[in-house]
Amino acid sequence: MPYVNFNFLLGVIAFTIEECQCISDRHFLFVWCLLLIILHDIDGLKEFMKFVYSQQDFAMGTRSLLWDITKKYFTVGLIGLTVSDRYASIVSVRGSSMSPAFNPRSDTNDYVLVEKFCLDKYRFSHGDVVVFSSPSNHKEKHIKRIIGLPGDWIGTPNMDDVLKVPEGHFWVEGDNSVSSLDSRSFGPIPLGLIRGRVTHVVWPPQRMGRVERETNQRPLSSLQDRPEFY
Amino acid sequence: MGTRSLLWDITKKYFTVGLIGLTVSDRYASIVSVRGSSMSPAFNPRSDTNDYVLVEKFCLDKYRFSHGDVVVFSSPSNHKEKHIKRIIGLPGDWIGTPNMDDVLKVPEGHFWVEGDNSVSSLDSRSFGPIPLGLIRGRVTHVVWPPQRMGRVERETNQRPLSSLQDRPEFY
Repeated sequence: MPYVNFNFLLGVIAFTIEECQCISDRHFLFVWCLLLIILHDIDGLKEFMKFVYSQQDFAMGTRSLLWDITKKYFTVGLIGLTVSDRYASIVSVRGSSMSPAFNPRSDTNDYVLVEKFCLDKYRFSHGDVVVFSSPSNHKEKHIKRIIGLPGDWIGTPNMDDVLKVPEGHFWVEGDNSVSSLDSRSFGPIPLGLIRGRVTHVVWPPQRMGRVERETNQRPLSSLQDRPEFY
Repeated sequence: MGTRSLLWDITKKYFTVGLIGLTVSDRYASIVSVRGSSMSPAFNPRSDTNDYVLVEKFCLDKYRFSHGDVVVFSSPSNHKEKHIKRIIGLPGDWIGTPNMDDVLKVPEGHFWVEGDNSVSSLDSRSFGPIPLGLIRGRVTHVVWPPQRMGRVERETNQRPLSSLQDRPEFY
């Protein structure tokens, strides 16, 4: 099957990297050039040479070749974008608010796999790492860990009072409390802001692997237990 | 052999059409059916039919919202529900409602939305200002039924107490 081969898959995966989807980003140009080279593989070039030789019509051969490349490009792009929007995408992590889970050293950016199946079925638990739009600036996206589910009671060292996480909202915090802008600043976030759940680290290779659902912080109480007030 | 290649051909066309449709619907524009009467008489003036409206998503990138825009957003209390309401307050506006004694400032990155039909509308007066990240698109046209087809205007009877960071005098 000419459509389902390694180059094709590579192209689809490249389109799921969210950094490369924005047309104005310089990464976009790089990936597009790479795709152009990868998509049209050696076999295709051989076919092209044979076609031109037999037809003696260079212009015709070039036009059909370009059309062929364009079709493949758009197919790969459409599949990649649809997969990225609805199923899974690859996102780069910036900042050190999730150290040491992501970006333990500030010189490299980790790339993580974000799955979006959770958005339909709402299968979130304590300790899940999620990607969400910032409540104060919808163009920014943050990556933090879920500390409190709807109905949990949260208390922070600075505050004298406890807060109940409202229905349909989460309490998120970064692993690295010192340099993390999270629910302690902007409060619980509605589920509608969540864009996906981080399941694996895919780059760099030495840290490739599953992202575990661990957390040192626990809510004061979960599942609608009510704490005794002192 | 002929049947197999015909089936493969149909499958390819099906998937291409599907993919293009899904991508357009997710990123550019989609058609949504309006339920309920919270936006009467703009949508569903009579309760027997559901209007279909065109929702554009270009606004999500460039953030070009104004007072009076009708938007589709996920409910803050239940992310699986979507609501359609009109934008009454932009970030920085001061909002006052007849029932409340105090005025509320719309926080940065949030909107105040209300339905045209105040009586039967569950909106910001109940769940407060909503963050922009919940907005899924802006309604531009009614596409069904044919007699009400047309542009959706940016009108509003309600205005915020003051816009653009004017501060009202407190009595």
